[in-house]
Amino acid sequence: MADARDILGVERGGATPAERKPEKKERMKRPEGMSREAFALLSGSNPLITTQLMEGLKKSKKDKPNRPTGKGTVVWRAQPFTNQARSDGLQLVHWAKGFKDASGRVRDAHEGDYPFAKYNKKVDGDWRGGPKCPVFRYDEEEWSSLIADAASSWSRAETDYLLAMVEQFDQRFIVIADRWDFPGGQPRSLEDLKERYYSIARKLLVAREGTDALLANHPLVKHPYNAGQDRQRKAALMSLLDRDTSQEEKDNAVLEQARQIEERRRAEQAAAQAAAAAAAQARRAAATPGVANAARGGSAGPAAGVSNPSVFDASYLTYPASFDNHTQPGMPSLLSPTLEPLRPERPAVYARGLHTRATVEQQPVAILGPQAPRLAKAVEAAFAELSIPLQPRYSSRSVCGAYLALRGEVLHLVELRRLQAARQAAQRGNDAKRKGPGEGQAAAKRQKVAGKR
Amino acid sequence: MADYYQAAPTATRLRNTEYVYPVVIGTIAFALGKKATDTATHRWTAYVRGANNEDLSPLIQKVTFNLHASFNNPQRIIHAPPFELTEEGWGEFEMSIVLHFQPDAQEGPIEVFHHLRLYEEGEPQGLPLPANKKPVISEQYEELVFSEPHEAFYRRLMSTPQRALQARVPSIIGPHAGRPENEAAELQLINEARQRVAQAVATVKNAAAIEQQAAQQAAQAAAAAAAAAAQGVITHGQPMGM
Repeated sequence: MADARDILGVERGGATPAERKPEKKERMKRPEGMSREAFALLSGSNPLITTQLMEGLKKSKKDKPNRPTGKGTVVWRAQPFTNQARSDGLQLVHWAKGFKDASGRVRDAHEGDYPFAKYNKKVDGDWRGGPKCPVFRYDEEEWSSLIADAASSWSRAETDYLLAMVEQFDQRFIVIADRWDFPGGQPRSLEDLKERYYSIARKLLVAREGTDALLANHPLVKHPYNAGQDRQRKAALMSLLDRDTSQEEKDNAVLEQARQIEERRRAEQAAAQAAAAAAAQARRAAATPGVANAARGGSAGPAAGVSNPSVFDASYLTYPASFDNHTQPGMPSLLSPTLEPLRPERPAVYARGLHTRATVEQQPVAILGPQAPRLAKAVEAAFAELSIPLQPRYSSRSVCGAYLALRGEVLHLVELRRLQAARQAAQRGNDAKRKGPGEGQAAAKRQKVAGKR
Repeated sequence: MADYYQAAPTATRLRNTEYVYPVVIGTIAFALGKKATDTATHRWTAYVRGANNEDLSPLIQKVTFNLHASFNNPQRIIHAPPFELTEEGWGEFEMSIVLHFQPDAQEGPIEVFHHLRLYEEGEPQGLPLPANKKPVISEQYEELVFSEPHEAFYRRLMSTPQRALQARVPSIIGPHAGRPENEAAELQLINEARQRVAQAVATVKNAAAIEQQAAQQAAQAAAAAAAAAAQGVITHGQPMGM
C-alpha cells in the first residue's frame, strides 16, 4: 500500500505507529454465530444493534397447545395432603399436577412428602456436634440445686411458663415479650425475659458439660447476656431517634465548636514544642565551643566558649576554635590546608564544599611533610579511633573551617604520637645499652621498627 | 534569556573581591506504592535551588544533570528555572550536576556531585512502600565562591535584588522543600570530634611531660651517683628508677 502511494507521489498521511494504536483497540469483534462473510459486510462504522429481542421471537409457553409430553398429558386435580411438619395430622386439599398417559391412568407429578414441610425449621442449638438441645429444660434436681433462688422474683411456675414460650416461639424474644401474659405475674420487659432465660441456659450448660474451660468458646459463656448494657443501648438509640431537626443542628454546632477548640489546642501545643526545641538547641549551641562563636559572630579565640574545661582544653587545639561565616572585606574566604586564608592562584568560581574536599587531600603533605605517605596507615587508624564525622553536607565557611581544622589536628596528633614512640624507643635503647650489649641490639632493632611505624 | 547577560567587551576582574552565593542541591523521592513497577519504584526530582528559594536565573544559565548510564538519554539539560528534573527509577546512584553560569560571569561550569537517596538511612531497601509515605529528601548546602569576579557581572548581581522564584512551571519541591542540613548540628558533630582529638593530644603531651621529668630526675640521680663515686662513697641505690 505504502509502495503504491510512494509511486503515485501521495503522502503517507503521517500514520505513525503511535496514531495507529488506538485504532486497533476500537476494532469490532465478530459476534458469535455471525458468519465471517456477513461480518465483513459491516464496514466497522455500523454498530451492531439487536433489532429484535430473542424473547419476542420465542413462542411463550402459554401459546403452546396442551400436547402430550413423554410423560403424558398434564392434568390438575384437587387432592388431599398432610403436612409432615404438623403433629396433629390435619388433612387439607390442594391442586396437584398429574400426567395422564395413553391408558387414561393419572400419575402425580410430585411424589413423596409435602414439599413445604422442609421449611418448618426448629432451633436445634447444635454445638460442637454434640447432642442437640433445642431449648434448655431443667428437671427437678437441677431446679432445686442450680436455679431455685428465694431472692429471685421468678417463681417456678413463671419460669416454666417462660421456657414453654421460648420453645413455642423458637427463642424469638420479641414475639415472646409481645405475647407474655403470666397470670398474676409482674410485667416483664424483653430484657428481663432474655436475662432470665440465658442465665438459666448458662447454668444448665455449665453444670451438664463440665468446667468453664471446656465451654470457654460457647457463645452462651463467651458472650453472656448483659441486660443493663442492652437497656442502655436501646435508651441511647431512642434518644438519638427522638431528636428533631433543631436539636440536631444544635448538636452539630457544638461538635463544630469542639473541633475548632481541639485544633487550636493542638496548634498551641505544636508551637510550644517548637519553642522548647529551639531553646534546647540554643542551649546546646551555647554549651559547644565554636558553635557559640559562630552563632554570635564573635571573635575566634582559643579561650572563648570553653564550657567544660576538665574534658576540653582549647589550648590543645592547633587551629582556631571557630571560623566566621563572613570574612573581612578584601580577605579571601577560602582556606588553605593549614587553615590560612587562601587567595586562589587562578581567579575563578569555586564550590566551597568541593574545594574543602580537595584541600583535605592536600593536608597530609602540607602538615606532615614528605613523610606523609609512610604515615597513611597511622592517619587512617587515628580517624577510625576518634570516629571523625563524614564530609559535611552544609558547606558554610564555619563548618568547612572546623572540618579542615579537625582533619589537621588529627594529623598533628599522629605526628605527636610518632615522635613519642620514637622517643620511647630511644629511651629503651639507652637503657638496654646500659644493661647489656645483647639487649641493646634488640632494642635498637625495635626502635628501627617503631620509627618505620 | 542569555542575550541580556552578555559579557562586557572589556572584561576586568575586581582585585581583592569575593562574591559568595549559597545554593542548595538536593533530591526528593516519592515512593510510588502500588503503582510501582520493576523498573520504577520511586518518582524523584533532582534540583538546584537558592538557599532562600530565590530565583537563580540571574546567576545560572542552565543546569546539566548527568544521570546513571542506564537512563534513556542520561544527560539532561534544564534551561530555565526551576532547575528541576523529575524521573522515575528504582535505585540510588551518584549523579553529577553541572552548573553553567550566565555568560557575563565568564566562568567555566562547576560540577558538583549529589547522591540520589530513595530510602531513609537504615531503611530496608527494595520492599514495597506505601505511596503516602513521607518523601525522602536529601540536600546539600553549597557556597559558590567567585574569587575576583568580573566587574560587570559583580555590579549586576550586587544591583539586582533577589526575588522569589516565579516559575512558569509550578515547582514540585515547593510544598516539600526541606531545610538544608542543619549547620549547628554539623558544627556540633565536628566540634565534639575536635574535643576528642584535643583530649588525645593532651594525653600524649602529658605523657611526654612526665617522661621528660623522669628523664631529668634520672639524669640528676646519675650525676649525683657519679659525684658520690668520685668522692669514694659506694651507693647501693637504683640510679635508673624508671
